[in-house]
Amino acid sequence: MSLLAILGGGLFVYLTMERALEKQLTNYQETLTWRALAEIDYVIYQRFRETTSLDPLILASLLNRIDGKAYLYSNEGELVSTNRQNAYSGEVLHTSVKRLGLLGNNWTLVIEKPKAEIFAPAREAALKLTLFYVPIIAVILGIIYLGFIKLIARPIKALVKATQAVADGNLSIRAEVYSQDELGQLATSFNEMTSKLKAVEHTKEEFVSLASHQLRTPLTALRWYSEVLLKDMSGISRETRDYLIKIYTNTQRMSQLVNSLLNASRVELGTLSRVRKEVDLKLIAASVIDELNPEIQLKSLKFTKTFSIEPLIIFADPQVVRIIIQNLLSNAVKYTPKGGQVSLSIKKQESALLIIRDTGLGIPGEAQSKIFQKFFRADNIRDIDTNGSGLGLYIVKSAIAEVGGDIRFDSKEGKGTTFYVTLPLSKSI
Amino acid sequence: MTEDNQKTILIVEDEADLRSIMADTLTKQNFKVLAARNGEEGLNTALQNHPDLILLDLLMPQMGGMAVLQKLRQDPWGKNVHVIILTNLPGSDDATIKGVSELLPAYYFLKNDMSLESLTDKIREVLKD
Repeated sequence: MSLLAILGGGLFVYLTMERALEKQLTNYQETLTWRALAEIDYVIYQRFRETTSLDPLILASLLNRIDGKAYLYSNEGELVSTNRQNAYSGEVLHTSVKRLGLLGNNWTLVIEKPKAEIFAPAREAALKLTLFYVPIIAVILGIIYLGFIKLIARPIKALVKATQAVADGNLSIRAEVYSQDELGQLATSFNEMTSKLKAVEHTKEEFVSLASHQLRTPLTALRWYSEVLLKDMSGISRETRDYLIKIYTNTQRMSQLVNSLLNASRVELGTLSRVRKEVDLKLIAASVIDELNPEIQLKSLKFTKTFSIEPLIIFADPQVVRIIIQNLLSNAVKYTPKGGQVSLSIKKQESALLIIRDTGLGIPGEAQSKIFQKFFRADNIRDIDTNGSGLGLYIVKSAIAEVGGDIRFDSKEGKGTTFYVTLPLSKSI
Repeated sequence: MTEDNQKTILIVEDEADLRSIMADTLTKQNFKVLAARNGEEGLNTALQNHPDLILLDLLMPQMGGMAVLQKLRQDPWGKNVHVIILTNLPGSDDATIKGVSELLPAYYFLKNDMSLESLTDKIREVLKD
């Protein structure tokens, strides 16, 4: 690109100089012609003062002194004499000069010379000048270019990179400050801004963490006390028992909501993963299935798990893996009508692949692009279940991204949904 | 179950309501229950009475659960006692988890995620070892 600019610049310089020199030389040529003519005039005047007619030989010898092809025309336009036999080939430059006083005649002298010959020195000079100046111009352009990169492009690039990182949620990023000028100040302000944002995020995390801890303590009490009451139902009315069950289930719901809010806040801060270690994906999956078993039984769902006992080790935070599987599987169970089918298969490929399939409500077409958005709930599930928070899949998607995996799905409303989750096998990926 | 093989459980928990429901439940399950309202009290009770198992909260006034666990593990008796950590501190921080794993054997649970029934199941499982 820059090489092209230098070549273009060089060509422009060369053409401009050539043009200028050509003009100069044209003027010069005229001067030469006048001079030649004056010389002829003078010689003739000196030598043939008394003569009334000119010997053609003398004229020819005079014209021979002229560099270039010369034609001498009489008053009547007749060619009186010329100095060369052959005309030049190619483009010529010619100058015609009318002169009075050549033995009382009003004759015209025309001198012509090939342009190429006239301009040869001009071209040579232009070329020399170009060869001299272009490297200098190239060096100057290069210096300007490097200066641009150093002073403007590099700081801007660094800032753009940092901005993108912040957009991706990395608030620890700092833009490098290259200078003390406006761009440097911009980078400094940017860094101050991200520090403040980070501090705000930290406060937010601390708040959510503490708030959820504070919320959990009374919730635990509620849960445990209602659990004890529900265990011994003798002597209480059916209505009381129903109300107790409602207290219990709502307490559960509240606990889940607190958990989801906390996880969502962690996921946003990228702090969901606390420890990373080798964990058996199948073991975690099996324990999630166990946990969901009562609900699977209650809804008479046909549950199929297709994976061997042989461990499948991945490198991740077991809590995070649990959150991923738990959310997807409990959704499948929750949104599949009685008697439906849910399956979980786990395969080892280049990464660990989990396939969670259900014959449930499915995701309506218009909702498919939105299911990973925070607090989004599709209309068809809103109708049958008012309890969801709309945070589950948002957390899942972010958690998967955090461990370096991927999630996609196929779904047809009324037919069911299949989620495909890949999780990296080792830390190196 | 006879008086001789009745196991003693120490509950160290600053929340009175949680302490009392756990105590009631475990008493009904035929455990001998001791209770302490904070870490310091918990440590003293443990060292005096040598319970078979300690249910330990983490966030408490006076002395936190981690400090109690550390002191316990320095004691000739305490270094082997079963400890189940119960906390509502979600996931806790890395230091807590690391601390707990270094001071094994301690079992780590979130109170909120557990029903009383699963808690008693876990206690029986741990005591069987």
